[in-house]
Amino acid sequence: MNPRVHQLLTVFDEGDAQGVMALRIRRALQAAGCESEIFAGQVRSAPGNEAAALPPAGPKDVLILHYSIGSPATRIFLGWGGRRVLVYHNITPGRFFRGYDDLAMLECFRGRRELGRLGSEVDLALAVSEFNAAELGERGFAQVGILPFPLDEEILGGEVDLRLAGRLAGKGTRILFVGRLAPNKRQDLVIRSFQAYRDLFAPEAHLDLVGAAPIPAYAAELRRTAAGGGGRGITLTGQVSWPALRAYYRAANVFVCLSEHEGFCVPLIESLRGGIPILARAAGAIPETLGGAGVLVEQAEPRKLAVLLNLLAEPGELRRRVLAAQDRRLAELRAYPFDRRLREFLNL
Amino acid sequence: MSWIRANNPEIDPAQLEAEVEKLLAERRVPAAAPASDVTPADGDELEHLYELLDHYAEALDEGALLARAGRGAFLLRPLLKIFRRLSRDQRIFNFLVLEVLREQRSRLSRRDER
Repeated sequence: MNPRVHQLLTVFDEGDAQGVMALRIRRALQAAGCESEIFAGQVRSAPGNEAAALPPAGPKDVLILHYSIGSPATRIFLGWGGRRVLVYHNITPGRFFRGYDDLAMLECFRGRRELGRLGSEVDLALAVSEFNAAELGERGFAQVGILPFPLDEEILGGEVDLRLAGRLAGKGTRILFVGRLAPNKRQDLVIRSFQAYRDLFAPEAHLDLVGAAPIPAYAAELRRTAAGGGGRGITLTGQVSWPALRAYYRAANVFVCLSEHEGFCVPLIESLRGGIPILARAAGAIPETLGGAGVLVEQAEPRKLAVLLNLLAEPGELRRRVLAAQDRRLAELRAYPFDRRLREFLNL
Repeated sequence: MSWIRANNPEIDPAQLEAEVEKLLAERRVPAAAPASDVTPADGDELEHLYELLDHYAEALDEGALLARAGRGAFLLRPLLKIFRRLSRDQRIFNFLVLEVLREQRSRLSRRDER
């Protein structure tokens, strides 16, 4: 009989990266004949269950903890009597939140400290990137497997908000970044680069910054930065539904990511799939996720980025070459045997 | 220094950098732009903790708050009195943590020097 393999998250939301990965893992496990459910401290969507409902473990049963911040879920995980597997999604270094959200900063410090204590408590640690695996290694995890974030065609290829897509299809180039508004993601630099692009090359251009705004002080700073350049053409959308997100990807001419810290960066693979040329900073796991595709910059100087945005938005040689490399990367990601690798890691 | 990374076999970074400089020059934009890529996040995490604790251990600037409140100051005064009483323990705790951390750090550095 196959073991039961359950998953535990701090928050389960089918719309965020961890939620998407948990759903994919559940599908793979159920296809392999395992009983598999998702539990979380906070459940925001089906099929998540309250963590308190987690059944007691048999000796062969497995609990997978998706870890990105210290939370009460860790205590439940450590109390699990069966095998314990940690999937590390990365914790943003707390210093990024300094001055914006001091409590978030302290929670990140605590999360990293707690992570250091988990090394000897898990039977297996998995990281979604080499970058994350190296962090686990530094914190005393002896053996770490790499299980990259899965490319989920079902989610990416779903229904599109056609009304929104129609509205976005007006004149003018559309530049896109997707990610919650957070200091490590440096949307402030994205705005300044866009303003330079608009001033120098494309007065009709638009910038869509898609993502929730969990840190009010940083969101307010972004609004001030946008207003400083006249605020024209810049939309901070807030959190959007999957159909709306697909409409933004469909309308985008260039995807730009200037994050200083990313443990994987799922929107990059969504952009690969959407056939959108990518301009990104070579930071964190971004080079690894792009794997030889996109244009990577070491420094984010707005005027130089403005020129690159213009070259990538126009139907010229650079755009053609970048898209060709991105298609190759997409094929690599599609060929990755996620389900098989997961079963191998779990000895199923 | 090269600023486009050679990660993409389809792109020659040197050639692309030269093209960017040329296009900027054509638009009379100075190529050597002032550094704007300053992260808000550099530095020692322990130093950030000290600064935070200092901040939270400091008393509320009641004078500035009352001045800002203007004619509403008479309403604010009793609330501040209650707040002062309620936050007293937390301030003492923050002071203590700060002192313990500083003492630990100085002991460590004295030990390293020996």
